[in-house]
Amino acid sequence: MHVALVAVAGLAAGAALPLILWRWDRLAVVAGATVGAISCAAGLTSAIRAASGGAAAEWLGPWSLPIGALRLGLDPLSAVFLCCLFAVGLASSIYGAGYMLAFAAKRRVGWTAAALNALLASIALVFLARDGVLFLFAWEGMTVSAFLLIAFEHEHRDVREGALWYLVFSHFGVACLFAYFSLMGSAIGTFQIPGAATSFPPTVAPALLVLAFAGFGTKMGLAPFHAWLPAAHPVAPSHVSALLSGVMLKCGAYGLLRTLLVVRGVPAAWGWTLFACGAASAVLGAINILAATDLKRSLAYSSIENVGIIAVSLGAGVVGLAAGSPGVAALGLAGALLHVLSHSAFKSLLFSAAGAVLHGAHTRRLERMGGLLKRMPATAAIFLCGAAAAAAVPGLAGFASEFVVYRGLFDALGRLTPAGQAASAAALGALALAGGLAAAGLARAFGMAFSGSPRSEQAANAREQNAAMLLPMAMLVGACLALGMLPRIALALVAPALAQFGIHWSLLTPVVAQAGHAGQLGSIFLLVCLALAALRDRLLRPRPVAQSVTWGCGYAAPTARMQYSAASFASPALNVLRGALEVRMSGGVPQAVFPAAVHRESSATDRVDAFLYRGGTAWVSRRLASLRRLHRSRVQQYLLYMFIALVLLLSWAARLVRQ
Amino acid sequence: MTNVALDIALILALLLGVTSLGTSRIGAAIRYFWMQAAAVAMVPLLIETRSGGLSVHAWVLFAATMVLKVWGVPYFLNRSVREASVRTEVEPLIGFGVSLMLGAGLVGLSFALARQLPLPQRPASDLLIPVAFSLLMIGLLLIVSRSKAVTQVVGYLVMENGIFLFGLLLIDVFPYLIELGVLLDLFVAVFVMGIVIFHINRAFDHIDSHQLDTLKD
Amino acid sequence: MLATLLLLPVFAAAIALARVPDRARLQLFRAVAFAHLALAIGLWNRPAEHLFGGYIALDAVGLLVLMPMSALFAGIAIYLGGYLRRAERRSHRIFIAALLLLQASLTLAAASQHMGLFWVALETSTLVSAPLLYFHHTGRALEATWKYLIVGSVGIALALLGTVFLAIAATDASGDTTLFIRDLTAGTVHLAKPWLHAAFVLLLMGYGTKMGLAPMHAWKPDAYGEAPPPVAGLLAGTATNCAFLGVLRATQICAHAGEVKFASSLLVLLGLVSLAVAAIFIVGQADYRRLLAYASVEQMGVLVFGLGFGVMGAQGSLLHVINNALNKGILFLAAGNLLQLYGTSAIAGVAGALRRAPATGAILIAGLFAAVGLPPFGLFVSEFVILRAAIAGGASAWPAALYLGFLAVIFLGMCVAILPMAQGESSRDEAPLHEPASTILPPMAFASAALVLGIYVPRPLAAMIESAARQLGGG
Repeated sequence: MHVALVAVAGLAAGAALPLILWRWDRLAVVAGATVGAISCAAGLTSAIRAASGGAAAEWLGPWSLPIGALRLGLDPLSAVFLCCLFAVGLASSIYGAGYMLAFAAKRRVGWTAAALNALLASIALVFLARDGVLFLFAWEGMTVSAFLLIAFEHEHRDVREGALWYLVFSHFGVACLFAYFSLMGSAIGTFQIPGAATSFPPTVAPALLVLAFAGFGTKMGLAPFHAWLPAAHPVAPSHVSALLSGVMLKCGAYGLLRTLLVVRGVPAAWGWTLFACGAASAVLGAINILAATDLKRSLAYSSIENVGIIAVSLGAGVVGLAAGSPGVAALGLAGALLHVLSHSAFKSLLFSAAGAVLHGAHTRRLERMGGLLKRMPATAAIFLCGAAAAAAVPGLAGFASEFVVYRGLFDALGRLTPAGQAASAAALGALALAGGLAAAGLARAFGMAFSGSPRSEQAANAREQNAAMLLPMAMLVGACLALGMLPRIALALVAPALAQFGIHWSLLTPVVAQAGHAGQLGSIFLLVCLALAALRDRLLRPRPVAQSVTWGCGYAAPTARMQYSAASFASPALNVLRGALEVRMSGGVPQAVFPAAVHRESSATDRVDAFLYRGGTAWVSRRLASLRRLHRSRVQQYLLYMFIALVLLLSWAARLVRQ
Repeated sequence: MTNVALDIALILALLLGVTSLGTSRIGAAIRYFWMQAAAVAMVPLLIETRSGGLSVHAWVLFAATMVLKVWGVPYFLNRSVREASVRTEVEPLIGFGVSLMLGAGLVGLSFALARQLPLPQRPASDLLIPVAFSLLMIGLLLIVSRSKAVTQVVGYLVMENGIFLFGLLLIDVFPYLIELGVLLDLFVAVFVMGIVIFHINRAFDHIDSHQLDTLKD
Repeated sequence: MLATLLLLPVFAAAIALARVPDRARLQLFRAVAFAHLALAIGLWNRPAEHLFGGYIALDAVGLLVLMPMSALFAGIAIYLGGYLRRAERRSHRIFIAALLLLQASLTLAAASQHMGLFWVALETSTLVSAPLLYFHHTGRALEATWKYLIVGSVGIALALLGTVFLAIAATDASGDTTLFIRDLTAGTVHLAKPWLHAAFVLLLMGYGTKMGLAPMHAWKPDAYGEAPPPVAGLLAGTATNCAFLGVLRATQICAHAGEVKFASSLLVLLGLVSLAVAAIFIVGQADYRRLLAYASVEQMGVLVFGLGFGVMGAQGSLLHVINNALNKGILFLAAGNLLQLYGTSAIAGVAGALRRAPATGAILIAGLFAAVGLPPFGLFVSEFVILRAAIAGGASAWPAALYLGFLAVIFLGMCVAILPMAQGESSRDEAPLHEPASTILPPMAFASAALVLGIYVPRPLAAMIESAARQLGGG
């Protein structure tokens, strides 16, 4: 506990330090990153000990505001999430220094180290807070510091828009949480977050659950609250994207799990809601992984897909708890927690690698990349590892956790009511579809970015990135491998947290062991393949290799841009799934026998985003504009309104008197 | 006897108020106002004579009202109208007939309202509260329904007369200081408005507040 | 000491009106503003002092209004140096004198213990601010001043009527009455219910007009949109708070007469209407000074909304009074800098402030976050205390839900309007500007104060707020 507190204090100091060193911009970045990395490392040891140890501790600090208290607590559930935070935080601190120094010639970057440390500190406080007001403080601190970081390159329009969407959605979520904690506080008379399940009055409990779902669901990026995510994550600096996707989204999952601990008697309906929204997110996210032409946007949709998987599993867990079926509950909750861990690892890895690509090739658009395998081999290997983990290739992080999730759903098929069985079957189908699409999408991303020949000059001139960026990625690769090969370690990490929900870890050992075996077997198979490939390479080395252009069906002047493009790759699948997407084509169509040069571009957004939010805001602002027309600028009108108000209020007062 | 005189003064004030709703000239509106102010200024004296013995307080109040409202304010308004060379029409936003009808309605409403508010002690005259309410409402109506800045000031003054009548319910107990402060503030308010009207004239050539509607969202 | 506090600005105004150079006038204003602040701080820990037979005294509520007011005057006195140097040449004689008189009248309002005297002080403040609004002598400023005067006068007349009604309500069998706040809240005076109700409605409407509560708010965007921004900030941060003091006193009287429910329902209603109007007009607003005016309507709505929810709500509102003053100090001063830099108050005409004038840009962002109630700024705490009170004390969940909803819409509107002003490339390609310290330091100081209040409320302040809130809560 105390080490964790020291880590948070260190992060806070790390947030102040770069501002003190304002004059020395580069030094500020390095100093901030160093302090941040050291704090994260210290915090990580403490979090791992707390997560596996299972003890809970509390600490009360000085506080002077009229409400709330500085009440911090560390229990296994918090510790699991803190593990993600500090691990990813450690990597992104180091990576961030390397990433940001590249901008130092053009603009001030020192403050970003401060904001990053503030972000890390506030996320840590979110997990540690045991008081509603403190929780909201930390939550909003997280929102603000993340916003500042997302808006780093605010001279670009899409960055401004993404940051704004993020801020607005966060505020919607936090408004729900304001109500959530106020309601909870007034029901139990204090803002302290109860350590044990508490019975709330029958009017309060459902409201709490609805508010928690909306508030935390928004932060998670669960459909239909996901629209901010594909707007904000791509435009942030990549280490920030890594942190946002890898950790900040998990704050939503943490909040849902905490609610499950606090509110006694959570009904199965809540679980089913999570279940349904999760399945929808998974499919929606997966389709868009394939559709997006922006590498980081594609990864952002992959986050939505994975968050959906977490929600499905969590929902199954809740249903299991409500139905008194410990097996289903155990697999569901364990699947959710394990996938939280593994998604943290592989998604932060992917975003970091995407950042390296971005720095190397100076573009986020897949259609302008290509051939990076030769130019950035280390980054390519790292990206491939992350993508394989995300596609649940055995032996890597994603596989083990998804294995548990699928096993949970199969278990539910056997044990729940017929309606529940049907739902589980549907969810299995949805997850399978999502998994397939996601694998295709990630394969496409890797293929377009790294193989083939460069589609633009920047891609042709790409260079490998420095060690400050490669080293943290290597660390994350290690984490992916460890989680995939030895899922028992991960189970040991989450078992005490599961015990808080009344689940004994022995229910899980067989499944996890199977996951481990499958992973190990799979990886042995992969290693054999790799060894064979290496052998072939070695045997063929003496032979001369001739290079020539690809055969272009006899076309005389082939260019790199005639390669199979990202859009062509996705097109067959997207034609089937057109209902979920809004594909817009812009630019001209080549016409006549000798057409002039035309520029044609297609872009896809998901319909929920396009219709519900962009359409919705436009509708609301039209309505408000028509209301604004009631205001004319005549002073007589101002006074007339006063007069009317006076008469109304007086007559209302008179009516009150008569009653 | 004094009772009758008091009632007459009040009715006079009310009638002058209603008449100002129907007048079409600014000069006349100002004239009706100061006559009304004079009638209202008499009221404290008449109330006190009714209960026997005139206090210094009543005289001071009378004198201050006469000086500030009957002489000072109209002088000042007339001057700013003259200097601004305003066209003398009132320019109502609603017709005079409708204004008068509305005014009559408001007077009726005032009598009804007055019945809702029973006083701890019977006032000097039963007409005092209804007339006070009526002047208040008529003043508001004038402000809302006339487009010229000067007429709006007149409306504001009529409204103040109504409030003054309410204040007379408390003539024995209200502290001097506050009363004088109120009167002085009123005078300064009109003074400041006069200055603004003068500037409006210079800037826009006329004091029709029709022109004053450029500030929009 | 209290007498010095009251008379100092009056004497200084007399000096400013005399024939002295303009530079001396500004220095005089600065000296008085800081002396005022020092005296106000000095009064903080002193036992209550009475003047003029109890007409004037500073109680807890008065001090809570006085302190931020004094601080805002001091900050703006510094700011005006840089602002006036960049504004067009014009004699400052009337301007500085009116500022000093405004300070005097608002101090008197904060220290009045008598509803009549309070009215006189507030009316005076309305009148002396007219020349401040008209400082730039443009046609639009003239229109705004006229509207301010006429709407404000009618409103304040309603408050006068309310004061008279209050006195009538307090009349006892022997015909005696009182308007002393301590008498009206001692529980010894019987207040006639119908008159009290009417008085409360009128006082709420009257002082509400001065505060800028909807639907009496319409003068506000015009006046703040055309006045010099530091003046608008001053009015939005001090005069409105003083008018709120009037509403507070009226509520206090109602509460002590056992009419809490009546007062509360009216306060909540007007608060919500103000929030709704602010939300409607903030979204899609094209002029940033008018935007800030509507933000002020919002803050006033929050103030009265909080007051409608008992002791805890009042506590939130009192904290909000301080935060509101600081907030206006940040945003309007930033707006003043932008206006002088870009020469327009159209939102579309301002972009890339962070690049062109980094300090002002950062202040603008900080001010935005402070105004929409993001932690760690103080407004978060006060708005949250009010929400908590609304949920705990409300019979229905609707007021709290609407409050949250309107605040969320306002959040959106403010962000959409202000962020593009700070972010992006500047429309003119110029090197970042080095701005004079006098136009940067005051808003920065306000922002730091707002930040500190968001994480640390000093113990004496907390105690003062608590005692003031109890005083308001009806015993």
